[in-house]
Amino acid sequence: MSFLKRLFRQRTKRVTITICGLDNAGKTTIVRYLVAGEYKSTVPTMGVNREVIDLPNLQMDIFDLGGQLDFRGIWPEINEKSDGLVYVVDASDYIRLDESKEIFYNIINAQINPLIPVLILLNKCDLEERLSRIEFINAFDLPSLGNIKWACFVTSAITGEGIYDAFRWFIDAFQE
Amino acid sequence: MALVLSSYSYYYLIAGIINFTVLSFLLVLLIIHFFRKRTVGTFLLIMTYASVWINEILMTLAFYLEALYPGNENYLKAAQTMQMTGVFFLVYTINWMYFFANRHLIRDNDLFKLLYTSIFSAFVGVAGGLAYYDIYTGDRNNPFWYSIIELAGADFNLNYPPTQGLRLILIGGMFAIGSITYLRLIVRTTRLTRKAKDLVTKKGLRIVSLSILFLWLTGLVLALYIFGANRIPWLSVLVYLFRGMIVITAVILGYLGWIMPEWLRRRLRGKAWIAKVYTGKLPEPPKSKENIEKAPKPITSPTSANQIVEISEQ
Ligand SMILES: Nc1nc2c(ncn2[C@@H]2O[C@H](COP(=O)(O)OP(=O)(O)O)[C@@H](O)[C@H]2O)c(=O)[nH]1
Ligand SMILES: [Mg+2]
Repeated sequence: MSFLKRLFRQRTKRVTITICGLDNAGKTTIVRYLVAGEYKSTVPTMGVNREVIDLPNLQMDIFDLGGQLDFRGIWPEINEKSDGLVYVVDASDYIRLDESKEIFYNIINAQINPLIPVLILLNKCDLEERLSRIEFINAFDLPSLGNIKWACFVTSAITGEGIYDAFRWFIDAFQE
Repeated sequence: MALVLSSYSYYYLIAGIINFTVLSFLLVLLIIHFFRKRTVGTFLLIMTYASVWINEILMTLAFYLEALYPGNENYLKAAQTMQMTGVFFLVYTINWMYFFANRHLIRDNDLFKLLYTSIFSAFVGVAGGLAYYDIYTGDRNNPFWYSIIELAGADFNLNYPPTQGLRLILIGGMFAIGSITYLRLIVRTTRLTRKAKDLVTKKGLRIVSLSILFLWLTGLVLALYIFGANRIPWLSVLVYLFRGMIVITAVILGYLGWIMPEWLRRRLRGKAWIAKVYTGKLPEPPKSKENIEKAPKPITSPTSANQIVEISEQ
């Protein structure tokens, strides 16, 4: 049996995915939700967390990068090799929206391969006081992304809202 | 060297080499891990298992010396010294493990830790000093501060701290400290296992308590010799092979439980939630209104049409 499994495994595609965004956006919580299917508390990420998720034909190697300024130095190196980008924004953090936008475009323009799918998550949608999806798409100027394959979903890593749909889109983007 | 060894000897010698190889491999894994993490905890764990490893080397080398140079007085003394030293290294794993556990399982204060190490070292120091003294000045046919356990059918013997009379206090004391320590750690780990909410932590802790149990058993198996298993050649070999397996199991379990390599963690964790939903084993969660409304088929291609949808929403 395991021999057969191994035979099949060779057909599975392996993709490296990086999750970026400001610290405290909810990146680690989202990854943990993908694994556990429920909210788990996290500690701030120092350096890189790695998580591997096996799907029928796809193995996702997820790198959750520490968001603090000190760790951003390693982003370009990891992003360069990545096959997909997840960018997480805290929908309730109006103050740092511009900072997040600047970093986002820095990654898009300088760090990643322009052909890879980009999933943008407007996280913490369970909170009352927050940006709506449309406000965010405007503020982030997403339509200006041109030919980049992107999608934007509102999510909550606490209630789980939107997470499956967002990643379903992301997974399907690799299957083509 | 036209040397004829008894066929039983080969079992011990080959087992010794296998034990050494496997333990070296595990130690290298630990050292690699240490250079990645550079924590004191990992270093203490390395020292714990390095002590086991050194005991294995010294014991096997001593066997080789005795087997290859029969009757050579100096080599014999060297071999005995090595064996006794090996035993003390093995005993010292308890102390290393105790300090390692103090970072992860228990929190003893400094005074208690110092007292513990002092008493422990006193036992090892006194037992060691007296044994070396007896090896170099005493009568080998009538050892007092150490004992020779004759391995029937083999070309060498085991040397051990004294097993008769009041002198038993030496090995008995070390054994008692070790047993209390390990028992305490096992009880503590079991309690933590019960409290752990996370499945991987739970299973990891279970592996850890098993590894401590096996570490304790390594000391116990040799006691079988004290009860006479050494007098029957094949039984003696079996006990020795069994001991080797227990040592190796203890270190493997320790490595798996404490270090929890990525592949094991993933295996214990089971399939990810997203994979279960994706394959239909779990129902799909309800869709978020905001996501549905704004993009019935979320932007799936970079065609400008999708972006027009976005813009037209504004
Ligand atoms: N209300 C709310 N809080 C969230 C959500 N996702 C994450 N958080 C909280 O945001 C904080 C930072 O999360 P974390 O995943 O560590 O952020 P990271 O630095 O991006 O990895 C934590 O206190 C989380 O509990 C969410 O969807 N809703
Ligand atoms: Mg994090």
